Amino acid sequence: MKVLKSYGNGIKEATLRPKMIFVLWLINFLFASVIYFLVFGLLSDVIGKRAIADSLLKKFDYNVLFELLAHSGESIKTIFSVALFLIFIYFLISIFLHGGILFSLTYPPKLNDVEDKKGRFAQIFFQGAGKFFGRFFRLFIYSLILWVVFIIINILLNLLGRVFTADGSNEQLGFYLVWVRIGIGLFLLFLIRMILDYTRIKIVTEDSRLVFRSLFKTIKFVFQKFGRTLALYYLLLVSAIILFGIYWVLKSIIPTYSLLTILTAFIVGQLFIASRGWIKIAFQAAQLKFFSLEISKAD
Amino acid sequence: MKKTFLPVLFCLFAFSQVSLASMSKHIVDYRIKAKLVPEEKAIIGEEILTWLNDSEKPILELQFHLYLNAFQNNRSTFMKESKGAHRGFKLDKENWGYTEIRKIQLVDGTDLISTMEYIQPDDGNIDDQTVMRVSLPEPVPPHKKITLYIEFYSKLPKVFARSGFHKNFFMVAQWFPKIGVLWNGEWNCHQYHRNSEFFADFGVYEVEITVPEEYVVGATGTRIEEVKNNDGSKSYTHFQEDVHDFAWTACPDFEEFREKFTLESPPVNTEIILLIHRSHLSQKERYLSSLKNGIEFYSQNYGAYPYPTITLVDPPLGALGAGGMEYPTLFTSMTFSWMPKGIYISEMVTIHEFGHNYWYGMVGSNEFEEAWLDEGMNTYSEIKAMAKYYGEDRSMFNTCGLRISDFALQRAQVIGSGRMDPILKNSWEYYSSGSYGLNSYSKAGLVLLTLEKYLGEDVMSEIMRTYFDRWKFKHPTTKDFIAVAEEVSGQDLGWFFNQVLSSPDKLDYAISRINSRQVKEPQGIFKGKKEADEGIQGRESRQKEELYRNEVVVERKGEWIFPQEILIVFENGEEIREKWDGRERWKKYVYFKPYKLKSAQVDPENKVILDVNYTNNSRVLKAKKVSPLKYALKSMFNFQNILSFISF
Repeated sequence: MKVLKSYGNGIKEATLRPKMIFVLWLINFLFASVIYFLVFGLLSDVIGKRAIADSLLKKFDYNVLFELLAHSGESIKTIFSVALFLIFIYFLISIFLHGGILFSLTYPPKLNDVEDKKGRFAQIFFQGAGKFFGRFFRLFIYSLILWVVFIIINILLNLLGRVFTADGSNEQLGFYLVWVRIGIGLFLLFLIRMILDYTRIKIVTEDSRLVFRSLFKTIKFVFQKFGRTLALYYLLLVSAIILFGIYWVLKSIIPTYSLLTILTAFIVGQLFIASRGWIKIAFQAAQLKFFSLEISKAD
Repeated sequence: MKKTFLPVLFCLFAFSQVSLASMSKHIVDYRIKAKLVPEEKAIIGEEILTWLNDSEKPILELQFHLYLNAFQNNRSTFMKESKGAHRGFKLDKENWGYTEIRKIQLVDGTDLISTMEYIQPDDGNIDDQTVMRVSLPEPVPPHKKITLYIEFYSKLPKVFARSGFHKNFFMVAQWFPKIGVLWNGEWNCHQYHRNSEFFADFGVYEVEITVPEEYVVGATGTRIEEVKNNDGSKSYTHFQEDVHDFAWTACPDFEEFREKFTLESPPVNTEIILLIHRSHLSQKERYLSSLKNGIEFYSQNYGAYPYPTITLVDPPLGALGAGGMEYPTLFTSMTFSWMPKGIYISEMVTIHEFGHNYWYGMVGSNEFEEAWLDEGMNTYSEIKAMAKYYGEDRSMFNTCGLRISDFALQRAQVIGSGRMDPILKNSWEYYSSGSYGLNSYSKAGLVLLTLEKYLGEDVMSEIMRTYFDRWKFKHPTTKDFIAVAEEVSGQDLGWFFNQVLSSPDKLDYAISRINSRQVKEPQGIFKGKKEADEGIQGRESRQKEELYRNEVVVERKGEWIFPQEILIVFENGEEIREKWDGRERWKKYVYFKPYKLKSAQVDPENKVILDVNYTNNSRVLKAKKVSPLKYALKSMFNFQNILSFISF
């Protein structure tokens, strides 16, 4: 019941925060637009002045991709370097934004007073972002321990797989083991992300500066309520997958052969990116609600 | 030992009889008894070799390949060149391989082992023992035969390069003392190299293979006898003439499937033998179907497949180092039990390796010295066969929206390559194994596709058919192929082959500039009445309609020269096709028209497959923004998703 209540609350809270969704989308858009300009510049130079541009509009041709890789390697390397740099900066900014999201979601005094929040959204959001950046960054550093454990488990699974398939005689088993490893890997990936979500929630709700202790206590919390925390997380994950499915269907019915349809597809794509922001807020809000319910019950 | 002499005489008799009806000149005749000793991973063998001196001079020494000695230590030429790895598979240092000659003598009992000497004709590496010679007490006169008796012990390596074992799977190839080729009066007997396959004379092979009875055996040729022995073993005798090698395989985990395959035109009647590892039974139909496609394609395009059998061997996982290799009437392919349907790698390997029965098996070119004659021709054939049976634009991948052809992948390797080597080079002398593969396979395949586009499909088809027909069961060289191509096409093609086979350069033509400028009225001083009158007349005529000076500049960016066709399109839809011999560095075309240019394109039908850059082949006057926009927005959207994921 708590799981469903938290899930519903998360969806509702996220829906009530269009400005927050807009901020998340806008920052994402601005970062990605750098890649747009670089790729557009390259493609305009390589194919824009060529007759092949027309056929590419209708159908993608791998020959062109191979030629691009062969003859514009340096430009592509530059774009990849810029992309890596952007990913790094964006990652830091996302740590910053996390504080804003959670602080806004927990901001007293009137969480449900939308009108009250409207006027002060930016102030509250960025206040929270600034306030918790240092703590969340430390959390990221501490979380490396979890990621190291994640990597070690994966290596062990790999070695275990090799024990069974070392001589190559059991090909089917090897094939299934790969899928099992992928499944376990994804499970652990989501588990760590969930633990970090709850740690951030704990830090914000308790205004705690004891980051490592919060992480440790959250691990305990998650494993104590393992079934329910997991159920809520996967419920939200399924929602994200449904969103992706809707986007996929919309995308596949829009033929991108003209400027108008290309722009339409792009707008649909941006709505999907915005919906990812929405689901991200829903994740935080739902888990926050669940955490509050569990803590209040414990109290 | 004595028991073997009677059969020798019989063999000699049989040899001379068989030769009368054979397709090739039988230079060699091997009668081998081989016993697999699984626990030793070894073959104990006896070999009776009859060799014909087909030259005009007496021969005092014989040279032999002992290929397995490439695997006997880390200092062999193969090991030095490969650093103990081949196609991504690595040497197991616990399991070396070698061939030990235990006895070598003439039929009269004259021992030759004391005259045995290892030689290194290619690199002088004294640690390499893959070639040996024996001196004869008396020379073999021209056009006379000599018969030798050899006992040998061949220890197989753990398979990583073609031959060897993996658990209970045995791929027994390059396994017996094999005489070199006396070619143009000299021994052509190269060492075993990292980047080379093989070369041998045609003849007759009769091999008795003894294995524990639970083993399933496949081998070159037709099985003529199967005997169950008292010691729990079985002996299988295989016979094949008109081949230049013999390979076999044994594994208790093989399932054997036999199926007749016939074609009416050209007449083909052969038996397909599929030896598939139990773990791959789900792939049985894919193997059979692709092999049938291969037999049909090669038979219809080059000549009927003449042998009574073709054996497809499917190695297990762990023995993929044995996969994708050809031997006469037997080849190995590769697959996985989970191979998705839209990924045609095992189909491609099956068709490719079967195809070697033509360009290596029957047309016996020297792969040490001119690998392209086999690998290049076979890549060309494979690209065409894959396109025919699996789709022009999806012959390699057709899954999850991914459609890539075999041709596209081969071309991608060529356009992205350096200029280190020409195609024509000794295999072991290439800059790297990558360069060997690129030049012998992909680039050579594209050379033939370019030639096909240049001469026309019918002419090219006739060239390939004539070349196969004329040179099957012989040892042709590049010159022989060029001679056939020139004869059939009726053209001098030296200009083409000299460039593409002997130079490492590239072919690249581009439209480097197009523009349309309105012709302005004459201004300034025109001396003399005539010029002034012309000026007035010109001005009057131009006042009626605008005139544009349309200019197209075509550039040769690569070193190779190839005739080009240029398509010029004007705004009103008018098209002009120009022919250019492509010799100069650039060529300018100017047209005065009352309308502007729309586009110009060199090689508009993409006939020049060797052109390494198609994207510079055309130019439009007005740049197109929509297509770059589409893909730039897609890239942006994908990047947005990556950003969303890392912050999730």
